Amino acid sequence: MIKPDEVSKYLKNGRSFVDEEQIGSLLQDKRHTGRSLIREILDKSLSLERLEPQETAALLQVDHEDTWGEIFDAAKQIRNKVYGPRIVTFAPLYCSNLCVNSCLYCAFRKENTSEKRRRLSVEEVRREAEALVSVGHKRLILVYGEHPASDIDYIVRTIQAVYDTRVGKGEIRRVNVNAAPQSIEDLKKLKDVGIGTFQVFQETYHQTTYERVHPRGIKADYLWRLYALHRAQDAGVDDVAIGALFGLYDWKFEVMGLLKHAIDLEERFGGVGPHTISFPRLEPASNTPFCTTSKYRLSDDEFRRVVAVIRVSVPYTGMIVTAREPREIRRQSVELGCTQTDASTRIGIGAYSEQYNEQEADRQQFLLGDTRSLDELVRELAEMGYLTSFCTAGYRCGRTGSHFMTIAKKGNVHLFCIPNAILTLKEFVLDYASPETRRACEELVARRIKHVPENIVPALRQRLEAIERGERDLRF
Amino acid sequence: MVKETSDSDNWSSDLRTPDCEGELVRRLNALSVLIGSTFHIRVWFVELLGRRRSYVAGMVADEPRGADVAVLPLTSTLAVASDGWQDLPLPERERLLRLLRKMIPAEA
Repeated sequence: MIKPDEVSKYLKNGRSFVDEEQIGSLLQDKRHTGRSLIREILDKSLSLERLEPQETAALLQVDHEDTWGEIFDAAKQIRNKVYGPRIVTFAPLYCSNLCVNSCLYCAFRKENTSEKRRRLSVEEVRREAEALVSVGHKRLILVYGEHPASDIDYIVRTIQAVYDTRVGKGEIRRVNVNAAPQSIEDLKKLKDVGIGTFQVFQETYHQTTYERVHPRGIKADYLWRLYALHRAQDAGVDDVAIGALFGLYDWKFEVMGLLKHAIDLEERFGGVGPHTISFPRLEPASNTPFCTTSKYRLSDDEFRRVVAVIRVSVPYTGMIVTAREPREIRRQSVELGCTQTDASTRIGIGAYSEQYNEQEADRQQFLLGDTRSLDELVRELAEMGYLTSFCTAGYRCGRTGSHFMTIAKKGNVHLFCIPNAILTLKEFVLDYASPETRRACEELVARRIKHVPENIVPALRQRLEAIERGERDLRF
Repeated sequence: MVKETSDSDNWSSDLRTPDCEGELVRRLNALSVLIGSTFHIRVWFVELLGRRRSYVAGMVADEPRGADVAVLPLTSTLAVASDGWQDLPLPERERLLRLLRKMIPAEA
């Protein structure tokens, strides 16, 4: 239920942080920014400072290919400087596709009668989790449609079921949540069950477009959604994730909206901005013509620019590229700045445990671009030089919220993440990897240990030996 | 350590007042600084939420030292974390924990 006082308290003079006029003016004014100024902006970013909206606007308006090349290079440098050669992996677990909303771009919208509707029981969610643990996953994001049948109590019960799941030495160590905006009271229940990150995508920051593509249902309220993560912070959930669905409106406007969102969170919550940013593109969906007819659909070139500009604008914020994207785009996105990706992804309800065909449009929200297994993805990333990380150390020893942000803003994330990535990859190699993947990972780890700070190499080697002996869940 | 011990009763009663969250954070921050200067270890306080340990206050471990981070419960919902416990002789560590448990109210 929408609580107006849990929106109005965040407005400034009755206005939200998305000032459409100002964003439009910035994008207009910053056309044809000189190359030397663009380089100054990139230098600021390379020193790991977040950019201001006018600086991001200048990058978005670059129209020379050579200058875009410099932006791409800066994005790659920042990615390596802050995060090092590692990428966190996870799997989505769709718990329910019952939905009261009418989003024109979504196959789960209530008017779509061709969709097979289902809400998993808690036991079925447990079986899904078991299937994911059995291939090596340690981190999940649970996804819920907006419906009374998947209310906060159902969400809490399913999260607990996932945390309680064990298969051999395997378990899920971090559960993130993608769900509808909640009230502060309900968000406190999510906090108490120990979630990782709470993720709500605004879809589009352009209010007129938002209202057009969400014509009915609770989701039609733009501001209730816009402040979902402010409420989460107020409820004590200090890892929050923002995102926009690219293809609903002008991509440059959406990047500006994401930046404004990140800045507003930082300003209001002691410097704690979003933990991650997502930028999914519209993909074809069953009986959903909007997805293929929207005039704002993003080309691959534009998508790469989105990735690079976000990376440069918020150097210390995680970025997620998902299996919506085809293999080659995912590879490029990882190099340009993405720090998390999913693997072995199925988005049909019950798809992991029931092992139905890879894609069944009438059970999915949209069609995936990449359905490779976790083992294949880990191997490919290893061949690219990236350590796949299953690390969940930060949120289990209190490196969350402002603690994490302090580390991130200093550019020190990699100091923790590389050793933890090596430890968790070692577990994966021993417990789940194919011989080819094992070989590729072992070669990579041998190379990457050289990048670990000298003072912790002895402790890292001790822990690796302990994992060989059968210990699990070791971390820094 | 005498001074901290003598302060503890006041702190404890103050922290039981309504709307004490900001005050709790401020005092935990001060405690963390005090422990850091006295014992030369960095500690931070976390809320226990299922598997999650959510940062509440205290020093920031901004680079790894190679040691384990151990999280030691103080109440049913609050714990103290450090990557320096190994540097502290066991009797000292136990004395510090006893003191913290005395200073921090059970409902904090």
